[in-house]
Amino acid sequence: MRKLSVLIMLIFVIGLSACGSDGTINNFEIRKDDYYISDDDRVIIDYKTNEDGKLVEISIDRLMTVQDMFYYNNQIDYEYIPEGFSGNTFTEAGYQCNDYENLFVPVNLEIGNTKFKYDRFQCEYREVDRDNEFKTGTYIRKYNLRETIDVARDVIVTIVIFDDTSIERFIEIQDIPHTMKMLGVYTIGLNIDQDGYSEGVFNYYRDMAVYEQLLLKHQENEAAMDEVLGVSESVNLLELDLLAEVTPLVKDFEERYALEIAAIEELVGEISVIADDVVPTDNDEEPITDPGTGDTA
Amino acid sequence: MKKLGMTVILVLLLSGCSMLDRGNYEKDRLGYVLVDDLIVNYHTNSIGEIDVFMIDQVMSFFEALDYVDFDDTLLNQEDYLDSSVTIQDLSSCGLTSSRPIPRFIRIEDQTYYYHVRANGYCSYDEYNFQKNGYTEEILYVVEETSPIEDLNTTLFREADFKINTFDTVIFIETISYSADKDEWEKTIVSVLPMSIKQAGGMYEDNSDFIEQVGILEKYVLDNQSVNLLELSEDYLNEEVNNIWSDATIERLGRDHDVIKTVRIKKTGDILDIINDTLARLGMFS
Repeated sequence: MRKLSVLIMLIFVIGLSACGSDGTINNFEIRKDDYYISDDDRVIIDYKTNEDGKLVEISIDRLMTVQDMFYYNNQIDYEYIPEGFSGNTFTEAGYQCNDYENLFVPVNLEIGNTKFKYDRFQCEYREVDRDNEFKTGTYIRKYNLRETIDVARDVIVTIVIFDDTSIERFIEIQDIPHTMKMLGVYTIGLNIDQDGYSEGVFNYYRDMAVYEQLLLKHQENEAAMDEVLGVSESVNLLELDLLAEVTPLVKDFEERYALEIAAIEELVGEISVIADDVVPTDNDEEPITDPGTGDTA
Repeated sequence: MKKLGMTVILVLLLSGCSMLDRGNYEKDRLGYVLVDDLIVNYHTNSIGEIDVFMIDQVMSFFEALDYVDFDDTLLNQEDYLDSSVTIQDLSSCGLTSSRPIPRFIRIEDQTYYYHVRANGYCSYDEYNFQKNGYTEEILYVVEETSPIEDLNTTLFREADFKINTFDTVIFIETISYSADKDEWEKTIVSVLPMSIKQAGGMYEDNSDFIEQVGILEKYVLDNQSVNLLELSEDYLNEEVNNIWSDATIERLGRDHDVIKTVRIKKTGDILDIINDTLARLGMFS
């Protein structure tokens, strides 16, 4: 009888010791601390994995096109003239070069430590030398107004002026955000008549924070998206009563953030180290059935 | 007795890991807590774990206008309708302000105006915009007739209001009369960021705040509590760089992101609102 008790205790201990071991899914290459730019150059993802291959940090951001960087930024003072400077700080973007009316853009830009000048005929910023002359060659950098600047988020983009009488030659005027998170709610576009919105009202920072936090929790895209959409595997999609109780954490998530979702899938493909058929198990959650109201103190 | 013990063990085993794999909090809750100038937005999943936890520093309406240095000249003044509320009008409502404030604001597709009443009770109330003027008379001059149809719904009793910045975005509007069309026109002038995160990283110091708050958010998600986080007694002293107590440094280690990176003096208030939120969600209950 004593042996039986020991055996039962052993089974009990072994059984419960398995609990919790399925919580962490180490899907990724270890010790990665990098950023990834999506194939379409629209989304940038900063990420970090630990020594166990677990994703421990992620930040998703959308790169803005060069024209949008100037169109949406209302902090640019187009009237500003630096003391003693006789040249132009801004110039017309050109009717065919952009999608807006009367858009003005800086004559010179600095991206990191590289200087650029706007070429209206080519609708692009092209790298210049110390004398503000266009560089030539195969490897020079250039950015069309309708393209994004595919550099890391911490690379600073600055409006500069060229003053050949100064020691610095290029003088910094103002930093310009090149991603949506940096520009905050100013990225919400208005329609042409300015009596409505071009693509609806959304809080990009908030929506991405929800997605990022759920990605870190679930360690894979599908489960995180299910949670964002308010749907988990326990929901039978054929039961209309249950569907009515589904409350998405982010409205219109799949339509609005298709670029970000695709970029995450690309990233997972890049840094994943397990086969696709090994499916994570942390899916024992139910849909949201009774969202609480906001408590205001 | 032995049978009973065996049965209990069997039930425990058959229940699988679910009895251990559950969180501390009320299940399936979504909401926010606003205390002074800090806000927390949270979500708990079906097993009572916090899986979304976001912190932001909010501004009141007046503070936001100052923060972005809002250009009052964008608010046009018509003979019959002023798109700004003057300092005198605000004074009649018992409010002190150094600048006029926008009369018309918008949240998604709902429109609101600042209703200045003779009895001094003033508020932002919902209205319908009527481009041909709102009146029951048959013959009238559009320009001399208000385009505002009051819906008798008050949104904010205080002109210097705060909002849930994770849920709401405020736009400023202006209304003007078009002589060409003989009708009123309503235009969105600008969005107004009402918090640090809504303002984004282009304003000074915002990036530091967002980074450090992000580390605290992640700590809450990983640990489901902040019980181990204690500040040193003199952390508010400007000369104190490391704000954490020796006990916390020892527990977490000097290489922990919280110890290495989180330095803002606001951390005490942030820990308070985190504890407040966790308590409301049923921690220890």
